[in-house]
Amino acid sequence: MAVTTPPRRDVPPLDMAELAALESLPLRARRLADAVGAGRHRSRRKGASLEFADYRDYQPGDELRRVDWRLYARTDRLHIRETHEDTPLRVLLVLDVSASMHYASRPGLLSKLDFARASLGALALLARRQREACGAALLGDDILRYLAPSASPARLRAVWGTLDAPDAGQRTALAETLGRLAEAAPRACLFVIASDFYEDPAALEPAVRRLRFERHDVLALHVIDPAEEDFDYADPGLFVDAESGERLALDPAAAAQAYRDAFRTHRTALEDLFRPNGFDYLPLRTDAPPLDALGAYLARRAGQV
Amino acid sequence: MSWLFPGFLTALLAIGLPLVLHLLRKRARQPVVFPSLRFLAASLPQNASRHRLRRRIVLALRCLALALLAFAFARPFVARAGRRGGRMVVVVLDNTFSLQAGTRWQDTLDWAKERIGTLESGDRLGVLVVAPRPTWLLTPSADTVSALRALETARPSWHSARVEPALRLAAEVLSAMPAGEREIVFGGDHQRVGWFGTDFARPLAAGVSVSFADVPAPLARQAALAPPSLERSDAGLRARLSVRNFTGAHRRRLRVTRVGTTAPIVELDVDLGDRETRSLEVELAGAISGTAGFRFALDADDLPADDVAYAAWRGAGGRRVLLDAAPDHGAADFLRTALQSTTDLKPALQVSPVPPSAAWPPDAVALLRNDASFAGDAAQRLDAFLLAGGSAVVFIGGGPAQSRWLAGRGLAARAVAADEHGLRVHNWTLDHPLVTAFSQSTVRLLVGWRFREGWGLPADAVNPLALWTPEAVAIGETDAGHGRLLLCGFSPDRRASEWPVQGTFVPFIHRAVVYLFGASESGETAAARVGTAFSLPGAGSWRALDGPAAAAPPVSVAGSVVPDAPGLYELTVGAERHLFPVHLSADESDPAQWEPGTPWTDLVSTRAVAQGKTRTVPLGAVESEQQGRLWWWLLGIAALALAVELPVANRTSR
Repeated sequence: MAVTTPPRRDVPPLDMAELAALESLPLRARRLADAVGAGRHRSRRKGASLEFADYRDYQPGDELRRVDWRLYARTDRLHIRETHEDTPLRVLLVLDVSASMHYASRPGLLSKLDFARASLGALALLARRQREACGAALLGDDILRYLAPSASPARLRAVWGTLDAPDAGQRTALAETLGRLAEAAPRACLFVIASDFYEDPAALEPAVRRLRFERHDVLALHVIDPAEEDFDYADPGLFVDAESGERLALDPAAAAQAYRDAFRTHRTALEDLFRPNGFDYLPLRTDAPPLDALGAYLARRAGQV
Repeated sequence: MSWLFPGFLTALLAIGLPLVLHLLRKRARQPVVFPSLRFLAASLPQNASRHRLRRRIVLALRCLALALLAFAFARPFVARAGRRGGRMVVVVLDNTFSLQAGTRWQDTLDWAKERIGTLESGDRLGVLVVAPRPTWLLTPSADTVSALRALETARPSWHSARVEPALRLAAEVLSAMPAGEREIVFGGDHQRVGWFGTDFARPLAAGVSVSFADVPAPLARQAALAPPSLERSDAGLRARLSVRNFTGAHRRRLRVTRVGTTAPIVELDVDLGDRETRSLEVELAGAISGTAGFRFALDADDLPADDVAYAAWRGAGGRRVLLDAAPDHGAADFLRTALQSTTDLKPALQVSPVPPSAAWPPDAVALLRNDASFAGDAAQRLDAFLLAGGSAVVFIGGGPAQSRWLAGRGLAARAVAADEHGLRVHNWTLDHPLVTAFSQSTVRLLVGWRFREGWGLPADAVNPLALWTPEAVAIGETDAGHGRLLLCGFSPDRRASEWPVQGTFVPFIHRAVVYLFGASESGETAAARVGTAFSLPGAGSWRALDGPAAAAPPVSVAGSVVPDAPGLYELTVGAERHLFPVHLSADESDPAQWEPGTPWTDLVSTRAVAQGKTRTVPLGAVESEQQGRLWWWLLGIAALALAVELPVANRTSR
């Protein structure tokens, strides 16, 4: 199957205020998908389709119907005709819905959860446009919802519905729930994980290794509110942990530098967790359109062709 | 540590501002929901303690800088050792000549020194004398040694003065200085004339106490000689004088000597009744020729200062009046007639025509009305005459030579427009010696001066005696060379007015000439009074021939002098010699004390002093502060504190 790219429409540049003004996930997803302007991509796997891929020598045990008899007539040797596998890519959109994801540092800015929903919703649309199987999972302190990947045309609406579900967990147990999700998901899925990753990278490592062992691919989208990265609070106050409810009287000016250093270290640790396993790690600020995420997805998808 | 401007210390309250801001900042506890505190909690303990330390350092530096600025503006200084600035005393001394009586002066000094004997190191002391006007011998300072020295070297003067101005000055100065105790120590004899005119109902400045010396015992024998007058008599000269007795009846001996000699011309006993004023006529036998001075002395009583008086005789032969020729109008020469008629007036004048070709004698007074006197050689002789010290009365008639001569001296006279009533001389300068002498009998002599034509002198070029209009001077006086010009903007003939035939004409001409001679109406020289300025007939050498100032060296004088002591003084102008008797104030001789009671005690204010209102900067404190300049150091440290505070504060605000 040839890579096809739909005619590029003139799409105005996307800004986050416009995205936030769109009220529903489908609208946001479509706006995002239109902004990235992607076409269909093929699977990188070779399988039993009609489109020729390559020849190889016959091996005992190969199905005789896959022998190219015409080539045998010319060469007097048995060759197996390989074709591109036309099976769709299974994309599993994993959304962290813990309480920390509900954070938006200022009005007019999407919360991390809505930002992640819009991003994953747009990926679901892109997957659908490429007729790939798409599923979704909501993770909190457990797997709150799970929708297995499917290439069914109706799956897109189901995925959006799952992503837009009002379920919200309180605490993050990403390492544990991700491990269980790897068990439940079919093999060789593309896990697109949107989370703020408030998890110890060391605790995440077993789950990530398992995903690699299960031949899954992973695109980790680290959703970050600008305030989490910049920590530009000026006035002292009583800081409340969104997940645990823990309170901490704090002069932000005093802790700013140390916080920034710790956050940067955490991001580096996450990157060091995912990249050595062949996965992608992408930090996304909620004050910028997630086009990088969509582009990364498309690049990832292209790499599988 | 003392402060020059302690009011600035209230700025220390500004330290509360950073403190309040610091506390308010610490107490802000607005709930802030944050996704996770895991990175905050981990870094908090170490950074918080370091940050807390930085904040406290910033707070301390800000408070320190504010405090140092407040201290710097308050201008600190270290008071000299032992100085507490608590007591400030001004000794006010009545140094009028009545204090020369007996041991009054020494008694007054002893009493004052006893009063200030309790001063401690650091207290301030000043000395103020009342005569001739309130004068600081030493302004209040901690240098009490100098103040005591000034006190001991002070001597009673020959002046008379009132006490009140000095007391009020001392009180005002004391009240303006910060001190725990402010005191005036007044030493005097409480003479009635000293307290005369004092407003006892108006107290001195609040917060100032006054110690008054006790009223001294009355004098046993006190009589004073009034200034004698001389007149020519058949025997020579006759002196008229009076002796005023202020005490009980007693006999005194009067000796009259010619100054420069020791042998008495006259010596007689004078029996003075109880508080009697005796008038005496003393014949000074023998021919008196030329200038002579006489000393009249009583034998000493309790107040010897006023027991001596002087008189001077300059003779009557020296007053030459030069009169120029009358203009050829065919009319009577009223001016010559007037001068000839002054022979009955004193002093007599010798009238002679202006020398046509020789130099004019500079000891004469010229009366000039002819335009020819201002032209050609005559003008040159006139200029030389004035330059040599001669004086002239100039009647302005509008002639061209006279106009040019006047214009060349910046005295251009302009014709004054007359109305149907003519021109009127008015606005007389009543305190001018000539006008005063002229109108002494009646001021009616100054009215009715009407002229048909007149010339106005520039008001800014002459000293006006009378005006036509505010801008045009009718009679004015100005210096010319070493002599003087009396300029009359009218002519002394009947073309211009009826003035020459009026009763004011002859007296005015006579007074004007006598005034220019600088002499009195008789052959005796005009007397002067101690402390009072009087005009001199010219510039020259001035010295005392007799009296307390006889030992003083001659001094050069011009215009006028203010003698400080009685005596017979000599003014030498070129070859000319003038004698001037200088007398004491007659009031001061009266030793009567104020009666009844001691109302001066009412001068002490009973009102509490308001420290804040009287706060000013003491001179000594300024000196101490300027020696130390501590505020520069404080400003420097404050700047250093702010320089350190800035980077630390920046680190706490990240």
